This record gives sequence, C-alpha cells and structure tokens, in this order.
Amino acid sequence: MPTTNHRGELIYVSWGGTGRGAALRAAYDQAADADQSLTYLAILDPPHFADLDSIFVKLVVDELEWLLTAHVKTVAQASDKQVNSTRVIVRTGEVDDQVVDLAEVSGAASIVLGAPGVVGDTSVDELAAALRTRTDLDVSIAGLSS
Amino acid sequence: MNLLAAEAGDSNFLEQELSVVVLLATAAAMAIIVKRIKVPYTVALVLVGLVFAFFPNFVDLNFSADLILGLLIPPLLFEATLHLPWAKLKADLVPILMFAIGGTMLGTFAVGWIIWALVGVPWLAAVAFGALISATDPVAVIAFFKSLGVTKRLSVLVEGESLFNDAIAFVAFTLAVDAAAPGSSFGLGSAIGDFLIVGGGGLAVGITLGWFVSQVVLARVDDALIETTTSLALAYGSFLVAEEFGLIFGIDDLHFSGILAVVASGLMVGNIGLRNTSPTTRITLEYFWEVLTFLVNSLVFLVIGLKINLRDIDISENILNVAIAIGAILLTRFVIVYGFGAIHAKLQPSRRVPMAFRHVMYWGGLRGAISLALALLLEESDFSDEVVNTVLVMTFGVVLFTLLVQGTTISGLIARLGLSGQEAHQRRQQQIQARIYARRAGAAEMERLGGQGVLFSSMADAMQDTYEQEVAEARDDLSDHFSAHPELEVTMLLQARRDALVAEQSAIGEMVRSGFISGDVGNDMAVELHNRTAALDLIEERWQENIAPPGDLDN
Repeated sequence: MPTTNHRGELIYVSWGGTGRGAALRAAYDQAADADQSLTYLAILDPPHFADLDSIFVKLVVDELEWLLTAHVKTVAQASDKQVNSTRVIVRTGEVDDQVVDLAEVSGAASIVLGAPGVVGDTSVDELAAALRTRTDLDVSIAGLSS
Repeated sequence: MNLLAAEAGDSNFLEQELSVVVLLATAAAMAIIVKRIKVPYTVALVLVGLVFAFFPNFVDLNFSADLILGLLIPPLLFEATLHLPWAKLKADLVPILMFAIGGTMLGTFAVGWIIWALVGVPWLAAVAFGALISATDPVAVIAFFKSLGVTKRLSVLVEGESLFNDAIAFVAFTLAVDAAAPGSSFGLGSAIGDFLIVGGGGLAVGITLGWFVSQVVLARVDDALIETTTSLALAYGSFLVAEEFGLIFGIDDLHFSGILAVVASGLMVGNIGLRNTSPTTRITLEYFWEVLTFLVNSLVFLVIGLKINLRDIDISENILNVAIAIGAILLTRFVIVYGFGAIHAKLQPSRRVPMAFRHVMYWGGLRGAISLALALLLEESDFSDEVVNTVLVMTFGVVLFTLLVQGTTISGLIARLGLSGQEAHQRRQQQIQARIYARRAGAAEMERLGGQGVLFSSMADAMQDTYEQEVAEARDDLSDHFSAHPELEVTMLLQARRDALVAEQSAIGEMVRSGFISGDVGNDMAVELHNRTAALDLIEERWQENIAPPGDLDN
C-alpha cells in the first residue's frame, strides 16, 4: 500500500516472530492520534532466524507478510480510530540497522518498539536508547504489559 | 497332508487370532473409557495388560522380543519421523544429539556402574541394562503433548532425542551382550568402531531406501493406494535390510541398525516424499499411518502389561533391586538433562533449551516397549538365568514406574509450568467460538426449514432472530475477551491461517479430482501450500518461544 504522509510516518517494529496484539493496537492508536501513517516493520533477526537457509527465509518472509497484513487489517477493523495508510514490510538482519535504514529512507516521524523484551543480548530499553541516538526520532516501547 | 497336524495348527491359529481380536476390542473399549476418566490411554492399556497376565488362557499370544522389535517398533518409529519436520529437527539438532548420544552413553555407563556396584550384577550385564534402560520412549509423552497443545519445539526435542537414543541404546546394548559371549571382550576402541559402522550403515540404508521411495515411487506414481503400500513396505523393509544387510552380500556377521534405518527412511519420506505426492495421496497416507499407529501402539502397551507378569515375580525379593534401578535412572536422567542442558546453553545461547522444557524432558523420560524388548532379548544371551531374571525384573519395575507414576503426573507438571496451550483463557475463547459456530448452524437450519416451508416462516424468522441475537452477544464476549487477553489474537490469527491453508489444499485436491486442473499443476500448488504451511509452523514456533514460559523466568 502506498504511504501518504500527513504528519509523517510511525514505524512499528517487531522481531522474533509475529509480534503481540496489544503492542500493535497501541501503535495503531498512537498513529491514529498523531495523524500519522503506520508502517509495520517485522524483522527476522539473527538470534531467532539465523539457522534458516535462504530458500526457507524467503518462504517465511512471504508468509509473515501475509499474516501481518491480515493482523493490521484486523486491528484496524476492531479499532474505533482511523489510520489513513498502513503497510507491512518484512526484512532480515539486525534489528537496529534495519530500523535506522527504513527510518532514513521513509523519513519517519516516530518509532514504536513492540515485542519481545530482549534483542539478542540487548534489552529493549538499550535498543530504544541506541535508536534515539542514531535516528534522532521519538522512540517508545509499546504493549510490554501484555 | 497330515490332517491332525493341520487341525492342531488351525486350532492354534484360531486361538492366536482370537487373542488378537480380544486385544483390539480391549484397546477400542479402553479408548472409549479413558475419555470419561482421567487416566492416560497408554497407562490404562498397561494396567489392563497386567490384569490379563493373571489369566494366561484368556489371551494366548507369545510376543517374543524379535516380534516386538521387528513387527511393532518399525511402524511406530516410521510414523513418528514422518511428522518430524527436518527444518525443526535441524534447528535443534545440536541439543538433540547431545542428549541422545552423550546422554545415552553417559546413562549406559552410569546406570551400569550403579547396578554393578549396588545390585552385584556382572559388569557387562549391568552395562547392557544401562543401555536398554537409557532408551526413552516418546510415544506416551507425545500423546500427552498433542492433547495438551504444548509447543512444537518441546515435542521435537523430546521426540528427536528418543528416536535417536533408541538406536544408540540398541547398538550399545548389542555390543555389551556380544562382548559377554565366550572368547569375546569389550574394548572401547572396537566398540566405537562398531558403533560407527552399525549406526552409519543403518543411516545409509534408511537414507538410500527413503530417497528411492520418495524420488522414484512417490514422485512418479500417482496412485494413493500404491504409494501408501510402498510406505509400509519401506518402514519394514528398511529395518530388515539394515538388520540383515550382511546376508545380501554373504557376510553373516554384518548387521546395521534397523532402528536408525527406519528413522532415516521416515525422515526422507516425511520431508521429501510427501512433498512429491498429490494431496489425495498425502491424506490417504496420513490416515493410514494414523490408524496403523493407533493399532500398533495399543498392542504395544497391552503387551507391556502382559509381559510384566506380576504373577511370576517375587516382589519382596526384588523390591530393593527395582528401587535401586529406579533411583539410578532418575539420578542419571537428572544429570543428563540438566548437565547437558547447561553445557548446550553455553554453546548455543540463542537456541538454549528453556528450563521449563528441561523439567518436562527430565520427568517425561518414560521407558517402554524398546527397553522391554531389549531386556527380553537377554534370554538368548550368554548371561546366567539368575542374572537375566534380575535384569528383567529391574526393567519391568522401571518401565512400570515410569509409565504409572511419571506418565500419570507429567500432564500436571506441564500444566503447572504453564506449557499447556489449553489455559483457562484459551478454553474460554474456544467456548465462545464454539457458541458462535453452533448458534450460526442453528440459524442456518431455521432459514433452510423456513425457506422450504417446513416451518411457518414467521416461526422460522423469530427463531432465526433469537439465534442472531445470541451470536451478536457471543461476538461481543469474544471482543471483550480479546481486549483482556490480546495475545490470543495472534494465536487465533495463526490458527485461522492454518485452517485456511488446509481449506486451500482441499480445494486443490478437489480441482484435480474433478479434472479442472492437471495433476502436475495440482502438485505444484500443493507443494507451494506445503511450503507455506512449513513457514507458518516455523513462525508459530518462534512466536511461542518468544513468549517465555513462566518456568523459564529463573533461567
């Protein structure tokens, strides 16, 4: 889906799998409140997916994109708020590098980190701090209570 | 023809046939009964078998060790590996091999040493016991896992370990028994060499035959019955060819591991062969193996009960030995699971086995048919009758303890560790979904009857309205429930996607059957759907791993 920026774009980041419902809902509401478009960036990071061969990674990327697109639509339909544009991107690589790269390319306004609580040996708080330094954007952590 | 002999033979055959019928009817009856009482099916069968043993004329079947190993074990191993995805097995191959190879070797010698030191059994007989009792049996535990909905990774770890340790225990057992023969000796160097030849040969036979069946028969013959029959021939054939490999080339003493051959051939068919078949064949083949496994599994656990003939065992004389044996296997299993688990966590931190999984692997290390069959093989060995009897009774004791005590408490442990997928809020979600589904069906029926004029249209409309109101209430309940438990949303999404992929597969099969698309096109699409399902499996597995089980918080 094309991105139409009103007040920029909110990048919601998950890694290690499908993410969590509560975190996505929180990110969706935050994007709606800020009148931002929503980009769901799912990352197949080495700590969780390094053991897969390249052919299988391609299959996982395709399937995850299908699932997450359906998940975003589910959240959109259940919400009483409206985000004008959403898209799903699945990438492979280190979480911080992929987020920084996408933020630069898309000119994102804010970043919301979803699940899970650690990225390899780094805590999600440390990751958020590192991303703030590298992107100079507002970086928050959503849905951890779920 | 000697008519008297023929009649005697017929009579014997009829008795055996009647015994099989009794056992199958008992299995069916127990399957019905255990649905109403909280006793695991396999445990119930063992208990019934124990009772049958007191009435030897009632069930007159002589299941020898060879019959158990050659007839009952191959299909169980084959079916288990058929559903073991290579991608998942490969992801955890390091811990599985550590537990299976390192654990079995350690268990063999550690248990052997304890038994040798405390029971006074000769060293080689003690090692043989250590080997046979190190073979964990996945069947009972996997049955629990399926009903409780635990993660696939835990199933793969338990199943993978037990499949490979069966083979390794078998080889170690054979080496110990052979070394006890007059003029033989047990050298570590030759034992390792023999182990590599027997194990490697078994794997090679299984891979070769499995590849042939997968790439030649399953890929090129489009006939569900022929392909299913071939898979059965492969399960038994790979076992026999490996075990009797020397005979083919006129070398009497050359034997490979039949168990490893079956494991390898099952993995080949499950991961390559089934991708090459049509959806119709896959469904037929899977149903066939499901039924066969149920039958064989039922017989195995009844036979365990029958073989452990409590009537002929002097319990007071053997209780101490059995207690020592149970203590030995619990102690060594503890060292293996937690010790190797800790070492593996250092080697592969990203794939460490969660502590909660280790608790289940420790308590879920049940012993079953393979231990029993190997112990019965000792009757043909060079050990004295007294030694053989001591080992047999200890084996019976350990098998009974693990099945009746550990087997009945493992589900409680799984639930306590929070590893059961069927938690209260998940059950609640299913209840609401079931309510919606049932009410919808009721509303559709009212619409049909009203439309056909069987019911007054006003009555049909009123009842339909009532149903729709209930459906709306249930949907609100479901929405509230998801708000309270947002993690269920992902679970439901994954399940819905899985259901949708199964429906797509059925639709493809239907189009092939109706001739709407060619078999080739149908196969291509089936492969694509199979790949999507495999990807979904992996996504679900990794997602479940990211939700750390409560028992893992201390790790």
